[in-house]
Amino acid sequence: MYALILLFLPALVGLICFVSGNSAKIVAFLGAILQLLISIILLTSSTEISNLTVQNEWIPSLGITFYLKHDNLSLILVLLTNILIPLIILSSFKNRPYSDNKTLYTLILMMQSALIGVFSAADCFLFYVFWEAALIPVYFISALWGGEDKVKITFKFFIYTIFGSLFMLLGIISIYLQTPLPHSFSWDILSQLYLSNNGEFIIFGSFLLAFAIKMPIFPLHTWQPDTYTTAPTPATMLLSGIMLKMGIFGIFRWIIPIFPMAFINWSNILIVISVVGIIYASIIAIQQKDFKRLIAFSSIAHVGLISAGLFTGNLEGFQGAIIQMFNHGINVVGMFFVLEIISQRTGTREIYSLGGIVHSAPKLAICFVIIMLGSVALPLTNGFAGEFLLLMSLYKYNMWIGATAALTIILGAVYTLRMYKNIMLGESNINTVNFRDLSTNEMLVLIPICFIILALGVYPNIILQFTETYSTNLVSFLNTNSTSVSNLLK
Amino acid sequence: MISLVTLSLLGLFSMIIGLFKPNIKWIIALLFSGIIVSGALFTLDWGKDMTYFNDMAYFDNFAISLSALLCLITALVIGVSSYHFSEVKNYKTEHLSLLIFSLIGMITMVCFDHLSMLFVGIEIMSIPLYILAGSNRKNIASNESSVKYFLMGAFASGLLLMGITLIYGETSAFHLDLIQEYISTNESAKTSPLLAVGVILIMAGLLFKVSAAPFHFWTPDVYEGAPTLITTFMSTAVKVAGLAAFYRLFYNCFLDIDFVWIQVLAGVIVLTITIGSISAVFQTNIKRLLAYSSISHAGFMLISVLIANDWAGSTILFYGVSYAFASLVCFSVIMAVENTSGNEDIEVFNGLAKKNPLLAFTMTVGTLSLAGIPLTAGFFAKFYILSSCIEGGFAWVALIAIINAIVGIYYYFKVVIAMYFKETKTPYEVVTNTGFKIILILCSLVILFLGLFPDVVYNLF
Repeated sequence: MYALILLFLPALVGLICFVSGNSAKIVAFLGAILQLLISIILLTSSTEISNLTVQNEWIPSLGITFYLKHDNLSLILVLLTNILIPLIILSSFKNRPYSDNKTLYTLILMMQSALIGVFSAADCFLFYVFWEAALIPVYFISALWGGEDKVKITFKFFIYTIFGSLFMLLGIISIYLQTPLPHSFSWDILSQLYLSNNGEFIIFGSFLLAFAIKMPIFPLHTWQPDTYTTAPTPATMLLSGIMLKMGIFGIFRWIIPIFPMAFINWSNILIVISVVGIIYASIIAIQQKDFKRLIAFSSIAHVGLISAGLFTGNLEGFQGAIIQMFNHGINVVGMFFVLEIISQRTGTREIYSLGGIVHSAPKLAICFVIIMLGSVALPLTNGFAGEFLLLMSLYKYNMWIGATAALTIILGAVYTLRMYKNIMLGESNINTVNFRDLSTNEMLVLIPICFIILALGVYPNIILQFTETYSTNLVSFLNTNSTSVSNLLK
Repeated sequence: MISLVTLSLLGLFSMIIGLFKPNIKWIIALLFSGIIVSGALFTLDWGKDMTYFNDMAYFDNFAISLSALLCLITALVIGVSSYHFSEVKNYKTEHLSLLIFSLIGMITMVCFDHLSMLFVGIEIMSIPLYILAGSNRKNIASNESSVKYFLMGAFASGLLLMGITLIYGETSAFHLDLIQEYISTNESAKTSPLLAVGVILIMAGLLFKVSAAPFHFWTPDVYEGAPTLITTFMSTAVKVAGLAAFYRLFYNCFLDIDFVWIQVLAGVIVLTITIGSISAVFQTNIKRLLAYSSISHAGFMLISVLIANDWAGSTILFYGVSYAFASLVCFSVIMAVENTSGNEDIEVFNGLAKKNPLLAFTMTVGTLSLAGIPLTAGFFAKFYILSSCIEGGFAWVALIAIINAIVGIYYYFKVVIAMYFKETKTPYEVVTNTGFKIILILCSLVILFLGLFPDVVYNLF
């Protein structure tokens, strides 16, 4: 029941928004807050997770069921979604081109429903439907209110992601046909499936392609910087804060349980690709002059680290990936919002034409510093716990890979601190001299973000404890699979 | 059976009533309801497997549901015909009666149990279409389209007839079950060159009618030149009927000698899907774009003939329903836009969402369904096709089909992008009437409903 409320409440509020005229944004915000409260109550109350399962017939002839199932990982991501959506809605309140457009809020809330669907679906077909459904609203937001060349760039993004997901559809069909009769898409049955080596690899590849494009993993990232730069800030926040987690979540939920052997066999190549992506994206980020683009590349680097740690398949890697998914969502949304405030007031996104904002906007400077430190993973900010765990897992896997990946800390500090220095410090110039400090509205967005960054920095165990059993189970599942195969080989 | 009679009477009635110059609105309303009723009358035979005309027609559930579908499509086409008659001033009711006669031919094509019925059906369907394609007499493109369609169609009929005679020469039978019996009992039939050539010739003739590559060259020109109403009819009803006939013949007769045609058909399918979708990318005229996309859809539908498993009939029916409704929506919107703007380029659609949100929305539903985006009927249509394709051991065909589906999303979204994200250049007003709007909304709702509950149609038989 709760699962259904979580899934359908945003869509319902979205529809109300669409017909409510001028008060659309208030309705949207209140709906999102209600959704957040429900998910917090759900997490803090002693409700058993198994109570959140919903299973109904949907299309009997194909064995498709309406099957929702939560585990500790999906609850974390649902929480992340429900924290970020009200913040994103609140942050668009004063942004002129779209602030009063009810369509924007409807689309954001539709997107929220689809995202929660992705995180809770336990029927592969249902998962695919939500996966595609999440794409349409964000595509429309980007293409309607984006910047220069919006139509062309967002279309590239759209085709790119559809390309991945249609191959996943082929994979889904082929794995469905391998289930015992009557065929089924249910996660429970798919994860019991024994696949032949070759078949497993091909289907694994088709799933991975879709997930890797969404994340994006180097070298499939080429849609991302352009899209993040061109899209309006709400869409960028949705894409970087939540949507990219769909890919990582997909690896946890679908790839590891269904294709454990392919996951183990291909992990070393994937780790190397991810680490190359980290270094590559960091170096490009250093060169950037446009700060939105800089953050876009830094996001590729951060996701590269998450995926590298995830592919190691050890406990630190899983735990680090989970907590870092959450942290990255919070940090990147905060970062994009701060940059949106700056570019709205100064009319430029050029790092080198700014400077000295700290003199006129101390409140903004404090929030920006906290968010920035969170994203360079300073101790006592949330990023630290995650990156530490991820690097540890990589170090355990292979010392040299760990050492290379650790460069991300140095490179990350280089581009982020330099950006901060050039924007905030130094002499004020004509662009920044009349800079207005944060309004109440903006404070309401940034204070919760800063609070979460510091709180999780001091006490990351809230999340780590919550997902520990989940990760341990997953690691032991992988280990039993690899030993059973090595026994077979003997 | 009784509905074939009522349909013929409706056709004759509308032809004769033209003498008295009646108000076309009433005739449209009358024919619309008359055809719907005749379609409903078909279902009286549901589950009875009746045969008529000395076993020459056989109404099993497949034939009944497709006949009802064809009636429904024709009724809807007549329902949106008001734009056609603002362009064509003379012989209005005669056009409607020709549409109905063509419908009778199509029903013959889906219920045949005898090769001569197939041939007669195809001719009854085609000859009115040759006339209708040229029905905009002052327009040179319409005339060209008519002549082209007639010459090509006559050629295809010739091939078909040749194939039928060769098969008769080998099996000395016209009845489908007799041919099937001969092929399955006689070992010599498997190596008979007469039969092999006959099958391939029949296939070529039918591929012509469904505009599959390499016999697709007439399609873009004819679709572009013909009045849009006739294009709608050709790309929905005619295509579905052609595919149903194709399936019925090959599934009932030639499965035992599938080694003769199955690889050829696989090649044809791959070629059709690829040529259709690649050519559509480069079109700027929306009718040509949809013409090429309809070629690609024909390829998709042919996959269920290729696989020919027990539920291929259901798959064809479902694909037919979803494709026909989506095309109907798209072409109707084109008709409305073209009527006032006088132009068929994609650019005309720029900013349609602001001008007329309803038209833009229904057009979006239609194109999304044609592109196969989830939660529309078109997605399940593609899903059924692809899963049976992989299951039937043609994974490579499925792979090529999915790549072309991506290309398809590219060109269908060009239309959506034009409507929603581009600023309008040409000022024109779109005029719509209530009946037209109701039909558009109903069709969109059907598409969305089947996108949620495909079993309603898929499990019919």
